[in-house]
Amino acid sequence: MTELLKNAWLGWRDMTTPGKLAGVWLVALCYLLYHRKKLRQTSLLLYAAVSTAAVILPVTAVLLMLYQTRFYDYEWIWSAVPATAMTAFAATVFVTEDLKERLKESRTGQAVVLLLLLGMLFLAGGAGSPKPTKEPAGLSGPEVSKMLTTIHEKLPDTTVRLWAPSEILTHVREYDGSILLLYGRNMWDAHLNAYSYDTYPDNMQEMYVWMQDPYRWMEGRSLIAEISDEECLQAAREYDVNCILLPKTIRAEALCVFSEDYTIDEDSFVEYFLLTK
Amino acid sequence: MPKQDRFSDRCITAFLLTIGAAEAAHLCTLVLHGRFSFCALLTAVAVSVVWVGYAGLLALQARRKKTEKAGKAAALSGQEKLLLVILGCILSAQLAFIVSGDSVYRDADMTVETVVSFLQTDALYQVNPMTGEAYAAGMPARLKILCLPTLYGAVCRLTGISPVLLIHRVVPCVVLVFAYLAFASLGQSLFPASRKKQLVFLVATALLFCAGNYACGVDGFALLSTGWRGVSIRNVVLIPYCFSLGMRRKYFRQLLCVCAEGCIVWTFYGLGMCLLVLAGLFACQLICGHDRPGKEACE
Repeated sequence: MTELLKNAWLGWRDMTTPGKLAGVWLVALCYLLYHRKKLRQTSLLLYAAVSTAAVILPVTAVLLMLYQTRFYDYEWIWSAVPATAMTAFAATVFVTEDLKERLKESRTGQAVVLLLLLGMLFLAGGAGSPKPTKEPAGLSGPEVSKMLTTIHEKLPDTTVRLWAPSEILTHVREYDGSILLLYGRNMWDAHLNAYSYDTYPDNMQEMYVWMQDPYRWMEGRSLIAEISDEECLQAAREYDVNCILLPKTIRAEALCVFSEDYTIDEDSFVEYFLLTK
Repeated sequence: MPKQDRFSDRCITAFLLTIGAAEAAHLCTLVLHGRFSFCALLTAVAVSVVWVGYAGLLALQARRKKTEKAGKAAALSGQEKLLLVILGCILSAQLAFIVSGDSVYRDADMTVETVVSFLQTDALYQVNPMTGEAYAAGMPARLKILCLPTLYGAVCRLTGISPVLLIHRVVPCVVLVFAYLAFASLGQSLFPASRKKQLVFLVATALLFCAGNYACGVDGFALLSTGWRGVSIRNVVLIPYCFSLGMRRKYFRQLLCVCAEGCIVWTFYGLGMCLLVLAGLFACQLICGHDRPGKEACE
């Protein structure tokens, strides 16, 4: 229960930090409630008010999170709230009734109010702020697709089992279903683990840390894999990996270890060594 | 079939029936342990049968109505024309935004990989879409029965379009159109006597979509960045349509929406948000009395 309450609080914070449309909805709701006597959609308004209270109050929010299987995060319980529809409803009533009535003489006044509202709406929205994502940056899908064509040329008539940095692996299975991966996107996007009961062995997770490590090491960060280069090579043998892409920023000694088993191709890609066997 | 069907009702009903047909084909393939190519063919046949059947039903309805006096729609006023142009501009910009592909948000979603795996193995859920290796411990059965990946895969198999293109570009555009149809239906329920107010409502909705493309759980984001997902379809098509149906007390279609959600979203034993919304709205109607359709929002 405590964990669910914490999730509800963190979910509310995550949802309201990047943009404030939830705030705009609350203003719209207050407007509609204030004018409730002249509105005919009383049951819809009551539903909107009750559902909004239910997703904001922690206890009811937790109950709703339980109802939606706990698989989904807090923000999805807002699905039950007709926020977009009722905000648009409030805007329509305001623009076509109130604004006309109050500023019937002044068309300029009406235009100014509309522009101000529009400005407020977009300021309350994300205002173009980037969405936080677990997607590794660096390569686009089409770029990775081209790399896969080269890999198939180097390893014709063979089932490719690939191990590479996350910015490559993230796109591989979108473009080529014939390539098998040592690990997929669910290694760094934990939400994806809900779709399968399979889990990764510990040494595979270490291999992921190792693969991501050279970049960070070069940038002077402190994330260092606990697995050694030799253990990594041993694990790659164990999992029958026949194709590896290593960033050219990798340490020379690590590359030397892998040259025991793999043929190293420096020319196929600008930023990566292609290791095949 | 109800007598006062609107254009949006017909389109969304066809959409719901398509989901139903795809689910039937999907379940049939799962039960028979059939190949994916069989499933694609079955989906095409089931969807075609449903569409032809529904079109026939509408044609029959139209023939019956011919005898009734058809009221001519009033011509558009200048303001209505302007609102339509604004709406058209926003809609076009949103379509262009989706087609550009810059907004695709893939976190917590593996629809494309799932479809690619179906096409590659010619089987349903035999390999883990993340790695391409056979499942070691399997996957949740509730997830296995969802039909959207099969429907997308069937379209890819039958048309030759790539899964990335279909799922990240084409499907969100289709969903965008259906979202506007759902909100148009709701607008008609809220403002049945004023076309101008319906258009203002749609323009306000479109602006909210644009402003809301910033976080999960916000309708604008669901529509513009993750339009292919089951939860997005539920939030921007099924639920707004449920509100419209709830206000008009169209119980059969409400049931269709609840079932459609069960086919595309991982729900609590089939009890999804549509059911919760409809139950909540029904309870409020019992408390307040039914909202009177056919009259304006304001007196």
